[in-house]
Amino acid sequence: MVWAQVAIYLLIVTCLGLGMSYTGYFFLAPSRPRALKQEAYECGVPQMAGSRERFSVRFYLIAIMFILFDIETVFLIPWAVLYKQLGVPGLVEIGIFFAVLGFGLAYLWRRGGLEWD
Amino acid sequence: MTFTIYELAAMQPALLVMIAGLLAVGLDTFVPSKTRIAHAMLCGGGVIAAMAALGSQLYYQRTAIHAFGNMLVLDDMACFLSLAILAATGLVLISSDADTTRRNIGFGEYYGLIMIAASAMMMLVASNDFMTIFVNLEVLSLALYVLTGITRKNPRSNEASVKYLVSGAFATCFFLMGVAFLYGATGTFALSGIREALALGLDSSMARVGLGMVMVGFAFKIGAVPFHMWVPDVYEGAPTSTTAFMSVTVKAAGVGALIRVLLIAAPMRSDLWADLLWWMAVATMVVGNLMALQQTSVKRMLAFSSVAHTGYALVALATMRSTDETFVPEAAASALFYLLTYTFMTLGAFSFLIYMGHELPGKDGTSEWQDAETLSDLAGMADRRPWAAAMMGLFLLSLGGIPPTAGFLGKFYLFAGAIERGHVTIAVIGVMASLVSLYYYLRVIVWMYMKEPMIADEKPHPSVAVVIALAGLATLLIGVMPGAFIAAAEHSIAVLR
Repeated sequence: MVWAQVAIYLLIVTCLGLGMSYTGYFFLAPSRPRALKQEAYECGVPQMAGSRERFSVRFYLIAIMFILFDIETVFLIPWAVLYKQLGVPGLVEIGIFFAVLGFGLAYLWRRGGLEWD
Repeated sequence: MTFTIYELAAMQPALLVMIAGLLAVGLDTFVPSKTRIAHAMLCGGGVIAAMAALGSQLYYQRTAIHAFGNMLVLDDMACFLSLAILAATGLVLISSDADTTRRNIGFGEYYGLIMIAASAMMMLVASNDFMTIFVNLEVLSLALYVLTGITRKNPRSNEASVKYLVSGAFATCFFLMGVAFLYGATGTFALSGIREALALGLDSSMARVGLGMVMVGFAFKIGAVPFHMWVPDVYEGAPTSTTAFMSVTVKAAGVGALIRVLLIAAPMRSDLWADLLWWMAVATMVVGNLMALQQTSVKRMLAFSSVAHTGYALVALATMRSTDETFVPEAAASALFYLLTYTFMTLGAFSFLIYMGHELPGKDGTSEWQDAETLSDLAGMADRRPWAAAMMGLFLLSLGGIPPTAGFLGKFYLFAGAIERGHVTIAVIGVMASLVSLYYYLRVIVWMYMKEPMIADEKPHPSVAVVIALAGLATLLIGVMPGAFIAAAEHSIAVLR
């Protein structure tokens, strides 16, 4: 019956938490809305434009390229840490990995993926 | 952890295919004067080299190669399924000559992606560890997501690609969660390690959840009910050569990997998965066939029929535990054989739709390529193209299970085995379902032979005719002389350890 105790405990905690926050919200907190308080940045910096802007689809390519080199780093660090233990076979393996990645970059470059227009 | 050159031999066939694919991409990008033929020759060379490597493994090496700490194993089952996948890939390479020219697909990417997907499938059927299974499942799926949407200007193709990607990612989450649960229950990713841990009688509720979720992942990839909803939309939206490719090879690879998981990781605990597979097989057969009945598009009908055929293959796996509680792993051989027969007849049927394609006038004066899809596209074409119609008739009869075709023997072997092991109910359901399927297969034949032609402007491509002829030959050959193929399938399962 351990789980029953846990369930009862969870119920009490939930009621207590919700009860306290809603009591505070409805009965205790002063509510004096003004135009300035309704703004996104309450510090007073005026908003430049709406937040639902459209991004150029070109950013997608940049994001993909970022992931490519991000993953490269993720694989590079364990190899660098264990460089001495891995020796020549490790060097060959990471070389193959780099060759494939470099091929990907060359493909992207050649196909005009690095040009903005 | 290092490995020897000898271990590389385990992935040599898949590597050859992968290298050919990368070279095709490189050829497209870095060589100024390139032709489509050069790409096709390069990839075809890769396929033939990989077949030769597999052949030498089968006939000279003979013993299985365990590589990379037993993460990959090139045994007879891997060779059998790899050869089936390579045969399908080779045929698709020939027939996609038509698609790439007519639809103006960038052929470097197209051939490259096909080869990368094929290489991942070959490594998937050789995977002996959930890590390699997962990685290869993802590599092949990613390649297929792109291939589905490779006709970028076609909104249907794009829609199919996005649908496939989103639901595929969701299924992958299930698969990963299942692997995590199995790891939690057994402490290892290796299939043989999981078997040893399960034999100790560990926490079986966690293993049950894990195996169930892994099977959800597999069921999605092979398109089994209730995870089949993506199949008709994706198969219909994708360019037909891609549809042909993924409908046959993904099934071979996915069912192959599932067989390996069940037979190596959990053979002693068939109580954890046999009932689940039983219901899945029955639902897949019934739903696939009933939905196919209502389709007017032949392409969509073939998509639902491929769902139904997944169900037939699953019957073999679901009935591995016989009714007197003995476990018969040899039963999986009938699934392997069925996948082989399914490969050629489905590939042939889809290729026929490419063959009968025609040009549609587009909005801005240009013409757009359209493969034959509706029944009316095929109406009365038997008079104009008797050979092609006869071949399509052969494929449809084979899909429906009429002798002397490969499909009949596949189904016979499957259901006879199920009855032998005492599973009469599922065999009866299967036979009834394939009886229903005859209605919609024969309807296409009726339209081809007995209706007045409505459209007569198809522009057949000779390369597709080659594919149809080869697939028809294979369908007949397996139907008339099944002995060697059945023996190979049985041998593949017998040596699976």
